[in-house]
Amino acid sequence: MHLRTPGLLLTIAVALSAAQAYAADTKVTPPPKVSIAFNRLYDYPELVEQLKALVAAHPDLLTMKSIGKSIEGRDMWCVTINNSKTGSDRSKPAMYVDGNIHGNEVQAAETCLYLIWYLTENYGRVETITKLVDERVFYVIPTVNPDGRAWWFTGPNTTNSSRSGKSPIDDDRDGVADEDGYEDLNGDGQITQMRRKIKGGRFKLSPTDPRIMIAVTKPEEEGDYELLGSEGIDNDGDGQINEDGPGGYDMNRNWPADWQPEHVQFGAGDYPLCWPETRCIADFIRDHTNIAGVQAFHNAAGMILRGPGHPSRQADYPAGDDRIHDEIGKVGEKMLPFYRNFVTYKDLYGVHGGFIGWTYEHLGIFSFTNELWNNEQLLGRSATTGTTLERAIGGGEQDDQLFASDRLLFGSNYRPWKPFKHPFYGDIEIGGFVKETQRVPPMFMLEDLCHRNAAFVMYHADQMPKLIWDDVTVAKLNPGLFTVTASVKNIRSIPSVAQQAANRRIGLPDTITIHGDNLKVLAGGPLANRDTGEIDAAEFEPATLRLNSGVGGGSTVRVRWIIQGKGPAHVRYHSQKGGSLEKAVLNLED
Amino acid sequence: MKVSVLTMTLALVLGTSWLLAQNTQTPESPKQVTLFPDGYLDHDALTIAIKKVETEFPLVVKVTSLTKTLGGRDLWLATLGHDPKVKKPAVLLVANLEADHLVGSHVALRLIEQVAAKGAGILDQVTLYVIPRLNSDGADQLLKSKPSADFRLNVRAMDRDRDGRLNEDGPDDLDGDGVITRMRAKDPKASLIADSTDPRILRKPDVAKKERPVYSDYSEGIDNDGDGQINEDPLGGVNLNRNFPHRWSEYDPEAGANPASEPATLALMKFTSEHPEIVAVWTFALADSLTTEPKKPGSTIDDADLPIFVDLSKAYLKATTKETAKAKEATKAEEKKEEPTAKTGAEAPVEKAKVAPEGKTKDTPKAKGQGGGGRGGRGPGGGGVPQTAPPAPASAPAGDLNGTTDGSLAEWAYHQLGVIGISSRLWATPEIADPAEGAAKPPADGEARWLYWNDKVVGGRAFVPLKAFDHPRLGKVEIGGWRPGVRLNPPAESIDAIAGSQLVFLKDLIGRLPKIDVKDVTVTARGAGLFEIKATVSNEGLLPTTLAQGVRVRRPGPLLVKLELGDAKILSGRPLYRVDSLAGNGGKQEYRWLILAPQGTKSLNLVVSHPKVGTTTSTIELK
Repeated sequence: MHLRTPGLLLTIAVALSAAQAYAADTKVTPPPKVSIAFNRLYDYPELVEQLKALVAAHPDLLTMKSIGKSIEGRDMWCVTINNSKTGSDRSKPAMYVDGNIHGNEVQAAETCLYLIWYLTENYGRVETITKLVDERVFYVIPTVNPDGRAWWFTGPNTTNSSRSGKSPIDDDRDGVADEDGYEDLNGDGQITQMRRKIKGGRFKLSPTDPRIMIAVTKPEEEGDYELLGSEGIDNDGDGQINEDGPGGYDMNRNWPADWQPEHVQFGAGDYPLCWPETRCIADFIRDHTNIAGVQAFHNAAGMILRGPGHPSRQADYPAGDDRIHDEIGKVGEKMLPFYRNFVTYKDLYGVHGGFIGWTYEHLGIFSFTNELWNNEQLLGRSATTGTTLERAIGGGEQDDQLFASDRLLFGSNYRPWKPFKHPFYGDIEIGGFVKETQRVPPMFMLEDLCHRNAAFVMYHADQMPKLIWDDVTVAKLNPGLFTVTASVKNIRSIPSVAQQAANRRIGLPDTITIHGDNLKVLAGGPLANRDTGEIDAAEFEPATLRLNSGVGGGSTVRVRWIIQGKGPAHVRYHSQKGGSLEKAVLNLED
Repeated sequence: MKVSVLTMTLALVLGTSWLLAQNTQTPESPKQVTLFPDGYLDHDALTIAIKKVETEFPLVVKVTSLTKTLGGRDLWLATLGHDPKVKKPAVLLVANLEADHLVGSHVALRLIEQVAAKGAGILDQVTLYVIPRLNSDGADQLLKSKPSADFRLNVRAMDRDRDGRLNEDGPDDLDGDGVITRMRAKDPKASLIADSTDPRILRKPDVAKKERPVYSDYSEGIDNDGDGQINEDPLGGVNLNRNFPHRWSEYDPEAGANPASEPATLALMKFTSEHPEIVAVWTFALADSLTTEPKKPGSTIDDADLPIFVDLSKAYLKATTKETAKAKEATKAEEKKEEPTAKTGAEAPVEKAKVAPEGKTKDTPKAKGQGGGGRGGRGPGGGGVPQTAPPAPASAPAGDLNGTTDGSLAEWAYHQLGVIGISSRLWATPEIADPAEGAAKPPADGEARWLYWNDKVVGGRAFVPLKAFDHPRLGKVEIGGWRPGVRLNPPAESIDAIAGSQLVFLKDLIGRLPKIDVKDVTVTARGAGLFEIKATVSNEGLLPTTLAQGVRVRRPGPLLVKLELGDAKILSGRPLYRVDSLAGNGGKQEYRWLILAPQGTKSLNLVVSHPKVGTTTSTIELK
């Protein structure tokens, strides 16, 4: 008895502690409502399935609708994250996020998916997230190019191909469109490289690793291999291989700001917004005048890009807006250790008709493009050198990439060279990196990429204008004659009206209005001098004052009215991109 | 009678002696000239007219709708002479890009009727695509709105004054005469003076002569929305002829939110993408491109293409000079030719010059619309430069006579499609008969000539005389001015003659198109199945197969020279040659192949094709 009791107690104690341990675990990492693995890529049908599962699990926060159809008839899905209990989506500043306009830049869609998943799963759990979701709206289009995405997954492609949409283009100008693309000759599900052993070739095999081809540089040296390009045959008998694959244009050159025709800008299309994908998105964004932030996801190279896309557009980037862009980008650099904060035309290349050029220049929305993933990350090195896409995605030497493929990915990134009998070239070898490399991170690093970039979006979304009443006061001038002074403060860094919007008369100016049934507004205007009380009196409509520049980041706007009468007054501030403020507080009495 | 009463009123208002002098004048001819909009068709009437041609000539004409406009009207395309079995070039004719340019629609309709009735000579060479009225919403607004008001744009709702309200401050018929005209006020913003020779003319003061501004010029109306501005947010959205992507005016709402922003222009651009066989785009629009020969350095036409456009200009002037006399004869001749056809009953002739009955276009409008003052926009050379100043409020003179080229269809067609892009205004100056011997000559041009035409030819019906009015904001003003559209659209009876000369030019243009010929095909057997083949491909037309600009923009595909080999093998030469362009007037290129043909091969095909010109297949016998 004496002996047995402790045993029993011990049993109970063990059972209790086990139960406690279980409870504690769910508190630390509660199971998500929707389990989504972020260590894999989702083809178009799977992606839509995941979006639908999220919407079904979070009906209070999520809605999704198709805003159009792609060339091949796929739905253009847009997910809206909005807490309708705190207002309709259009009443709040909105962050627009999309990705994958280039069909091969696939992880952009997973990043969008992660953003939706993270915001909804952590709503009510993480205070900052809850607040962000309550105050802001997110419109997310995970894939702008569903046809290109679908083709990248299912068709013969490399890491670089299937960038275009699927409207046929006669790339080789032989009167037939899309007749000579890649072929998976060896049937291994990948389009890799072709090489041929040949006397006097430009390449030789590396003495340390025969998978690696080294270019012959010295004139007296003779190589023994030539590179023949990506896997494929000459389908149309014109002597060229793979010169007219599906599509052949660039939807990120098809936007109306600084659009230039095809002979100036490759891929531009016949006229701006000539494809259903770009047109329906343009219609959507223009219809949602509350969009105050834009983020587009691409790959690769690890860059946070902003305009101008071309030096000729510098005049459309006033200094005030540029400074704010730069500040947000600098914070992004810290959040994304392998990314650099760049201006597109200065640090990458000149682009006409790009998406974020249009959203900023024509619509006055603060906009970024993130180029997801930099190969240097695989070996933990930061991208301090190299400014072009080519250098960045080829980051590290081939031997480093192969080392990472062998040791971290157990060879799955690379297909060893194997002999093949080519109908045109004869005896060749086929091998090389698979399409899920170089531009795409290894899957064990995908979640990290998604999280850091989603966090950057949330930071940008939080920096959209947030307006509060600073002060609203009444003073009596004479019996029955009052001044009402109202001040509105923007407690975030992005102005409620971009300088570009004010300069170019884009959208509506902010307005501040006073109204009362028994009140007559005799005069009103911005308060020019707080000490003397001088106002810049509006000549007409003094009750509704137009503020063309809105409220700057961290700034306060003060207005004063001179009002005759008695009774309650109602003050309203309205901003297309900063939301509305209402105050029905004042009672004018002697 | 009416004329003299109006003139009396004007005389009382202005109290100037020259008017009394005018009063002694009587119209030159007792037969009154028709004045716009009499005889002009609205959308429904135009629809009936083109469907009638389709019904009469179903084998020649097909009428289809390219899209619905913003106002829900069909955008009609008449396709003439299309044969799915034959690849041939096409000419695209587009009229009424500007709502108030109605003459183009009517000339286009005449051309449809005449080509449909006797298409030979045109339709065996080309397909003719005609869009007689691109801006049917705007045209109906101009024709049907009450009060009658100038209107050039489409009907997209706009918020020009950015106050959150759409089209809430347009003109108002203050004097209740049923027409929106101009309003001149003596106010501090004055920048104009009345011309001393004719006070109806407002002009800039001559500072050298110490003239000082007296008047401000407004469109008739009040400040409906109380923002201090008059008529700054009228009905009227986008000028369709500024909505194309070449030199598009960014940040100007009248040029559209983007090129191809409007259903009509989008449908048209889509159509051009789907029809690479189009070799020429001819617009009937306010900017005239053919009446003056293009010259460097002003012209942006490629040096190599410039002579082609100079020649077209010459041909156009030849076809249209002394328009009235010559074309009347031409029409008479055509009528005579038609008669026998009618009698044999082969094809019924098209009914001549169908003019809507009086009052037809003045039906009560469904919606009470405010007339919009169509702003002309910037002239050539304005594009490409960032516009830093905000656009001026829409207070520029309504019914502006100037057309625009920035963002226009014709300029886009040349610069970005790389095809012939031309534009014709059709009627630029009023016809005034030579005065009697010794009498004063009418003014040669400008406002004075128009007023002379108003006074002497149309009996004062075109210009509403100025009348005093007490304006709620501006105080004493004078209201009056040109009736909408009267200076842009000729009297309806002139349309046949204008159409006649355009048809002459159209035939001339079509006669210049490139023609591919394959000649000097020789086959030499070298033995053992080896053959040498030579062929020369030449262009027998006047125009090159692709303009220099077309080669630059790469929109028209190249000329393809292809040997269809079957089982034969090429030992020398290429299976496919791409030729950017063959010069006009006999430009040629020789090709040579060495082929190895299996025994028993009798022939090979040489296929020469061009997306615009067509395809020629030659069979080469191997013997």
